Amino acid sequence: EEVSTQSTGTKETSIMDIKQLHIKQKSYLYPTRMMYKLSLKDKALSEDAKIGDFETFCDGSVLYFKDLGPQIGWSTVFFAEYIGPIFTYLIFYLARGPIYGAKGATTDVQNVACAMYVGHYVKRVLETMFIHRFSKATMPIGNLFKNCTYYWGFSAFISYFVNHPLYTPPACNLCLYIGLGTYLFGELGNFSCHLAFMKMRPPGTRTRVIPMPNSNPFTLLFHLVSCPNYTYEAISWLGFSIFTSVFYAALFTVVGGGQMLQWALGKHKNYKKEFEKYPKGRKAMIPFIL
Amino acid sequence: MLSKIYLLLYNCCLACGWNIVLYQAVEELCNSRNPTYVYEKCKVALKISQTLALLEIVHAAVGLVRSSPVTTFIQVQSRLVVLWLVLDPVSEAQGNSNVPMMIIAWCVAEIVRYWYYALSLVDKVPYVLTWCRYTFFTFLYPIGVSGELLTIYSVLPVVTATGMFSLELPNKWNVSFHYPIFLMLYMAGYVPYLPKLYMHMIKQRGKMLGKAAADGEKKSN
Repeated sequence: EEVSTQSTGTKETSIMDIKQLHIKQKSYLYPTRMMYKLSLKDKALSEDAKIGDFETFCDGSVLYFKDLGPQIGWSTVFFAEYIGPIFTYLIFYLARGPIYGAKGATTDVQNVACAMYVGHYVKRVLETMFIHRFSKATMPIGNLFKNCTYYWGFSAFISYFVNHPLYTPPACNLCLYIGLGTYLFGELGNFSCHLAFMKMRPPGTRTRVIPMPNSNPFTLLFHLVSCPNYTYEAISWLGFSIFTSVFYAALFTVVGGGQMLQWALGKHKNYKKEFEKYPKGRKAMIPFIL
Repeated sequence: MLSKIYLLLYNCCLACGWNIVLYQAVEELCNSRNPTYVYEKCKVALKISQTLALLEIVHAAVGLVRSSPVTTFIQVQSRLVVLWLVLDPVSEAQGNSNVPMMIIAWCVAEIVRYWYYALSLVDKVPYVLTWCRYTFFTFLYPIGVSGELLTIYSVLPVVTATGMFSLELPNKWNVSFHYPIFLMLYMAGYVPYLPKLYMHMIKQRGKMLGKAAADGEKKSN
């Protein structure tokens, strides 16, 4: 972490002003990739904060600076991450002749699977456009390549096997209905939670509240876990895996579920740290367990 | 205290195990002057010694030693893949000349490493051993990696022809696995790793040899 000393500036000088001064010296920088802290252990200072806000700060005090690297906007990332898989999946669904040398049409199961998969990502794109409120504006650009590889890669693998001419649907018809039902349950639940989160945070603010259920019965899961959106998402993919009986779909469910569990554990810890009265029985993502 | 005794025992046992492998491999080479039966002669000791290294992942995971369990896992699994999934199943490849080269490189590296760990536990590492541990890798890594890559490459024809470890469609889980392609990707995976590992060891060498020389002077003063 680079250290920069501020020896100029009045009480009214804000972190944004300091950033602009810094940019004059190093023109490759821009505000979203610049982070200032009062000490190595503190959180990043917000751009609106002023020098006068910090009692211990005076002429010659040390500010810690870190270059977060090239940044990219969250919405850009989400679109790339979510629209990519739609195309990657559709390639194998639509171009079966050239890819597999397949002669016949797709089966009902393959058609419904396609609708489920593409529908999931269409929902995500729409949510990104209309529902999500992000607490940070950008993320490091390295994340874009990593995330896209993950999403597009799995999408291709899953689609290749679902749309293969030698695809074998699950043995029992009941599995198809169970799979589809589970998927729909997960999708509706996940959407309900996203809507609930949106309502908990008024537009333009960075408000943080203890999540609570609203009139939508799907949100009752908030009583049991901090991140029911992740729970429902995992359920949704479980449904898709049962429906298609494709190994890579099951693998995707496990890997995605594991990653979400990690995130949920982090958010759960933050909630507990931030709110003294945080409900005790709640777990992070798996009711009663973790 | 108990953990120290256990680790001491572990490291000494493995050092001896690899010593046996080395002895058997070299003896066979000296007697027959060709690589054909080297693997045959030392494979029992080799399998035992190399597979026991799985314990090191556990040691790292429970905090018995200070290494990262992830790094340890990567190192151990790469040896086990070559040993159990490549060399052992394909008898046609066991007589090639890259096999003793690889085995002997592994032996020397492991013998030095385990004696270094054992003596570190009782704080009695002679400078010579430190020097070996942080110098031998400069040629053992390239030799060992070449051996491993050549071994994997050498089994590709057999693996392709027999379809071993491969899975074809159609099946209940709609999954297919082409072992030859997996092996080729695995080989490609070595490419980013070796430079990173090598440079890390070079950096360690600078640190450790400098420190060891300073320690040696302190002790003699």
